[in-house]
Amino acid sequence: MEELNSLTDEQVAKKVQQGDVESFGILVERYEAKMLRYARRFLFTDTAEDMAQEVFLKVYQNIKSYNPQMRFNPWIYRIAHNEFINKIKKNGREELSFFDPDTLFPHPVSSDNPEKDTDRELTKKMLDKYLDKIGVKYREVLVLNYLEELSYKEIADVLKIPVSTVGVRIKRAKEAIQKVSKLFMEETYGRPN
Amino acid sequence: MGDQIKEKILEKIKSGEIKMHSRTYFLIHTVLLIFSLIIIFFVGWFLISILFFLFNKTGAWHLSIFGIKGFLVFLSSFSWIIIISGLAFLVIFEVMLRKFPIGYRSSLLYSVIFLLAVVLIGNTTIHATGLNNKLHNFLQKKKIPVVEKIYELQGEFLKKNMVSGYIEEITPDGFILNDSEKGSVKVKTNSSTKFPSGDDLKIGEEVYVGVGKTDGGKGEEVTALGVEKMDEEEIKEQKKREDEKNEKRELEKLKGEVRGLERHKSEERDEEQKQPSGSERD
Repeated sequence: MEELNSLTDEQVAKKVQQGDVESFGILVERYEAKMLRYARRFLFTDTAEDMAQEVFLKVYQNIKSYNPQMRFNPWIYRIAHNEFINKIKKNGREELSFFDPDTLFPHPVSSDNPEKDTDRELTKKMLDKYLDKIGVKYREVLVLNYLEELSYKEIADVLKIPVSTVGVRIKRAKEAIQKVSKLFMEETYGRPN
Repeated sequence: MGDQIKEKILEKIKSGEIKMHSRTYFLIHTVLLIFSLIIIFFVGWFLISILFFLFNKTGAWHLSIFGIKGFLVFLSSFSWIIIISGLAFLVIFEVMLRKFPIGYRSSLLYSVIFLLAVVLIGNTTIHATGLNNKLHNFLQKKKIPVVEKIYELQGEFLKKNMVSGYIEEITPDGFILNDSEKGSVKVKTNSSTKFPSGDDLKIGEEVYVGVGKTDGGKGEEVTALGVEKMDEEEIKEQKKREDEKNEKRELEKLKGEVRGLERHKSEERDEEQKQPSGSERD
């Protein structure tokens, strides 16, 4: 078991592909907290555990489509993304647009996470309070970037959009959350004179 | 809680409730996806290539050099159904391609520009080699039902806006043109008619005429938007097409004659059978 623990995700996934079921337990242990957090913060559901379980079962079913030469992290998040989006569609409570105009035009690629640590912490605090007040499209990139700490490229591979669109979407998502926060402040403490 | 999830999952796997899909399953899936992508791309490509073929065959490209009005007529000569269908296939191709990193890593705009450039430059190149004409001539002869309809659809659009053939007679207000399809057409020219290759027209010269206005009921009298002389290549093509048409006409005529003869023979046989033989009469 200890030997298994020292292996990378990719090496463990390869073992699962070869039929080692116990190794799959290692992957579940490693990603369980992440998947639960992703489900809770993205879906705001009481059934996060069921959702996480569904993700792991899909991962097992599809593990042979995974290429161990590539990183395992974006691959498992891609599966989770698909599951969660299906859940949102099924619930029908939130709107999902088929086409995102941000993917249409090229945007100058901003460097990955250009914020200062203090700003980042501030944004994270805002996410705790207002994440459920913004749309699916913006909520997901913030969860993936700020809470799951995925890079822009990894998010691009999870969502299957250009890297530059990830940058733009994160920027817009932050603006949206700041707007919500401002509105909340105004409602609570009144408009500043 | 953590162990609970893990245990539940491992239990489902070990009991056989959840099974891993085989590599073959994914391989077939990928092969089918790539195969569909190729088919969709080539259908889109094919529909666009029909425009290249027919525009070249009828000389409709020349409309675009007959001034602004000519250019507008040129645009109206497109069968938008074919263009929209062709583009729809390319859009489906683009949407499917975005499942792959090669598709989603670039912005949609760049991707679409690249795709259109591939289709247009590719079609122009293939057209220049003559392969496009060969393919479409072959397909036209094969008379594949849907494909034949597509050729007819675009052909109809072009026939309205273009006549071509040799000048039979020069008239005070223009000339009489012998169009291979429509026969003699009276072409009227006026001060706004464009003559990009000169207005010194002679009897026997092969020309393209952009139709501005159809005056006759069946298109036998038209006002020309522009008149362009054919170059040697185009004359050769025109001759070839006329020869083919004549051959076809001759063949149809022969077939008609053979059918007539056969009908005549079978009527004769029927009559012989109706008449009772001499022994029967006795």
